[in-house]
Amino acid sequence: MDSITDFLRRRAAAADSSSRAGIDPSFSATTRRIITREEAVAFAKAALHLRSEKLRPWESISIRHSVLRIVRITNNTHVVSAEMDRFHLKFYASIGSGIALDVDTSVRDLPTLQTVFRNIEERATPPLRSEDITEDMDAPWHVSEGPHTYLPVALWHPATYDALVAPSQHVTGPLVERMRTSGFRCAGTIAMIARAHLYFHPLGKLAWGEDTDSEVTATVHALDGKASGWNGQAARNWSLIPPERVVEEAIDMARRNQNRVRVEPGRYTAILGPAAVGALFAESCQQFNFDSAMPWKYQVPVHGKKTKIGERVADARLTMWSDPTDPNYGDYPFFDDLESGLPSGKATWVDKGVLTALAYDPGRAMQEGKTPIKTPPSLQISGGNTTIAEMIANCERGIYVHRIGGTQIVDWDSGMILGNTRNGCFFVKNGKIVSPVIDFRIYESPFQMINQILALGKPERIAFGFGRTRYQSLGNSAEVWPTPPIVVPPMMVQDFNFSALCDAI
Amino acid sequence: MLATTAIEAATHAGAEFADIRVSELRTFEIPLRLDGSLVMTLGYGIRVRVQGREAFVGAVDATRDGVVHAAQRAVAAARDHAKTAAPARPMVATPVVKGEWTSPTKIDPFAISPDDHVVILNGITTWHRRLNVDVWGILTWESETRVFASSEGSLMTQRATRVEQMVEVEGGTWRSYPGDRFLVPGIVSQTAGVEAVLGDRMHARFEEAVEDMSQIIKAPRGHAEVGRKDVVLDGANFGAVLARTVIPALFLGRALGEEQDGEGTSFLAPPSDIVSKELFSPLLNVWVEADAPAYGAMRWDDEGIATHSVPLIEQGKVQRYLGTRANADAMTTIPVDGTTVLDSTASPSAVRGATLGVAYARNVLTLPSARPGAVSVRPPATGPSLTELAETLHNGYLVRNGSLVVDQQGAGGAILPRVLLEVQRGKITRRILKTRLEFSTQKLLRNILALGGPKTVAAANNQVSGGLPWNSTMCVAQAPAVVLKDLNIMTN
Repeated sequence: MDSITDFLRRRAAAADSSSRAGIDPSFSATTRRIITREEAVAFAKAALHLRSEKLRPWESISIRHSVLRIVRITNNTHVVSAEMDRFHLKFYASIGSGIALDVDTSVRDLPTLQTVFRNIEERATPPLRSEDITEDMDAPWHVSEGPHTYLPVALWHPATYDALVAPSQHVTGPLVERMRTSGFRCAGTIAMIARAHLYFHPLGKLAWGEDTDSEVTATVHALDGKASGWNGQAARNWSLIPPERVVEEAIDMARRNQNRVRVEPGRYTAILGPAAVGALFAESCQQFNFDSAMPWKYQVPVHGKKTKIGERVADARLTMWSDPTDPNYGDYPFFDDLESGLPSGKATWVDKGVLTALAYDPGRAMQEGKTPIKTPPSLQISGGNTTIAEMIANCERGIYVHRIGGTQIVDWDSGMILGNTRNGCFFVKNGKIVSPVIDFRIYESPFQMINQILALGKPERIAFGFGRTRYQSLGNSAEVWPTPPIVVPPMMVQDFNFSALCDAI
Repeated sequence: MLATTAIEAATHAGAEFADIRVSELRTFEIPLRLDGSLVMTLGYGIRVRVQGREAFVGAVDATRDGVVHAAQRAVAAARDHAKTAAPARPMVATPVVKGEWTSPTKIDPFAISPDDHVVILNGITTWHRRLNVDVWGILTWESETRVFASSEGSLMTQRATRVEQMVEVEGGTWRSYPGDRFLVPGIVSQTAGVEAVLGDRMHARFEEAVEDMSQIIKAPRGHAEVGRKDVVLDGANFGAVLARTVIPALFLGRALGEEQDGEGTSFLAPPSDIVSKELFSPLLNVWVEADAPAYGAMRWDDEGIATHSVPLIEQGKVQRYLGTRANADAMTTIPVDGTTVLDSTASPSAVRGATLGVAYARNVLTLPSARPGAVSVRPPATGPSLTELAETLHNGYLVRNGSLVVDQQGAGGAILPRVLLEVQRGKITRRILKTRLEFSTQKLLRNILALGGPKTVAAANNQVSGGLPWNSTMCVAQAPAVVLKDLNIMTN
């Protein structure tokens, strides 16, 4: 309890001393604004201590804290920023005649939290007896007791945290200057986040993660509104992002995308830039979970096999994996929220074209006799050595797609996705870009696409920006940004389905 | 107290303008089949202007020190922007308001016992057992106290109780898509208490939906004829098309490029080319509904401006964008028939170009932006039923329940029907599977052949999104059924 009080006191004192020194409190990098592991554990213990018998046996508790800062440039010259400092404490309870609830509160001081507990306890039911707990396989009390071992991860990058709490003018200044002289209508976004997450159970399970992330994106429109370009980069380590290059390449794409012509929809060889590939797999990777992996399961078991594990499902050049320990592309090595606090390790989903693993939620893993593993929040796909320029040079007739947006899975059996090309789409003929073209609606399944690969390029992490992209598919409305790392290569694929023209720019 | 402390701290630190929204929110979500959730949050968002530059801080540390530091951080950030950026558009002047408001609520959902909630749920599940169908759905109760204060002197407290609700009945053999799920009509998300879900009419609605479903499930199944066909959309689908295309396109921020690197821009831009032009069918009249029990109804919006129900599109002509104090000034430079298009002191329905009073930050930790809680297509006083509309089709389709995919400008998209029925010479002949209906929004709304009458009006919950940081807000769209000419039918 002392620790969290210390934390709040320390923050207030640091802010006051900064103010007295004429320094704005938000720009003091010396004081960590994110809760530490020790502070979070102390708070969790204090919170558990406050509960009466009525709220037991729901012992596990989850604490999340994040500071997000977004700076947006619009119409070349306007800058507005938003900071969001969020705190969530979650636990399970049961009220009335056994309505099981997960309770989520932003309360971060113990006296108020005690009021919250009393409020729920007035309506709480007695604790369930262990023999009554048999039905819900996803429930947290099914989780094995005792401490777990988690993979060590290092997702916190001091350079990102320092940039988060520093003034933004040294970043926005050059970007605004470049946008002003571009001859286009430019917009850009610079975002950084630092966050921490504790899963705590008094019987010894304690999972802790802290990470940073950052992203710069730019969308550029021609002044007549008839062409657009986009570029973006994302990295857990801010020092790896060159913001000015992001803007420059978005301007360049908008310039190349002017005077678009109409090309009939149909099936073409597609050269998909990394952002286009990433948009498709950001949707599809939720189908790596056993429960929704229809494209990789048999509708009726074949020789007792429910899934295609061990079978070739993709081009032999492709390997797909998730590795929580990767400092740049990793993720928390445990199940989030109150599911269980169970460890979730590395997984190779597809190894040289052969399906080797699927994700299992804790309850399903228990039923199927598998090790629980998270549906890939982060995903890496291996690549090749072909550059996009070489793909274009080797293309007789096709379409180069810079980016895909508005994606949604519309057929879970086949994994078909509907979306549209945007911010750069070009007709390729006889090894050369002939012209920018009016955008298409696309209708394609990545599960089929990975069997139609002609060439692969160098993988890179995709920036998803701040629109309706992956947030819905992750089903996590609390996290508005960022999306976990998706690292994919550009791909040249045959017979890609450009199903209709799209009016949007 | 927190609100005025924050405003004082911001002005003391050098802000020439500051406003704050403080929210204490309780949300009790009860899905019909799964466990529920209870969310209790206290948070606030402070917007400031320094030397004409804007910054925002949203936080949950509701101590005096917490709000003071948040205000100071916002001021420091705005001052930082002044070194590189041009001034933001001036804030539109609005009247200073002080007051309190409470939404009309007969039965407070947080005052009744959890077991009473179970009884309500049991009422629904009992019907489904009796009718031998499955039921899916969710009831989410919200009770919120929201305080607004500004450096101009406005200070108001509002308390609202809302319910988000959606119930579907399901029969036949459901496999991921398309399923035999039917929205139970007349269950509308609204600003009201428990009384909104009680009453005998609910039972009648279930029976109607189940009868409807059982007839449709019996229809022989087949595949669509691709090509352009006339189509009847039921009210919920038509409302969803509007809520996901035209309504976001009328967000002034999107039309002005504020969301260019975010949610997207607008196919209805620039505003000077749009306002008062006849772009759509003269049958189309679209309103923002701001009066309780409309979902999201409040007396004042999140910029302290009085809310009003106001037409956005009249007889096919766009009359108003949905603006905020931070961007509506742009409309003062746009001449519409030589008249002033924005006068914030007048009644919103008396001016053209942009309407204020629609700013909302569902999550107060985000900047308020134009987010109407409810929109409607007003039906003709009398008109045909859904069956009568279908009977007008010689060779077409009837869409019942579905979802949507739209592009980043709202310029077009695809309707993904869960239930698509082939209609030949006015009779339903087959249930069509694995088909989508692609559309260009402007053409779709120009090609309205007929609207259904008041009995065809249905509501759909839709999410509209964007903002800083990105957030998603519910917009309930109510609309009558519609007959559309030449939609592009494509097979999946």
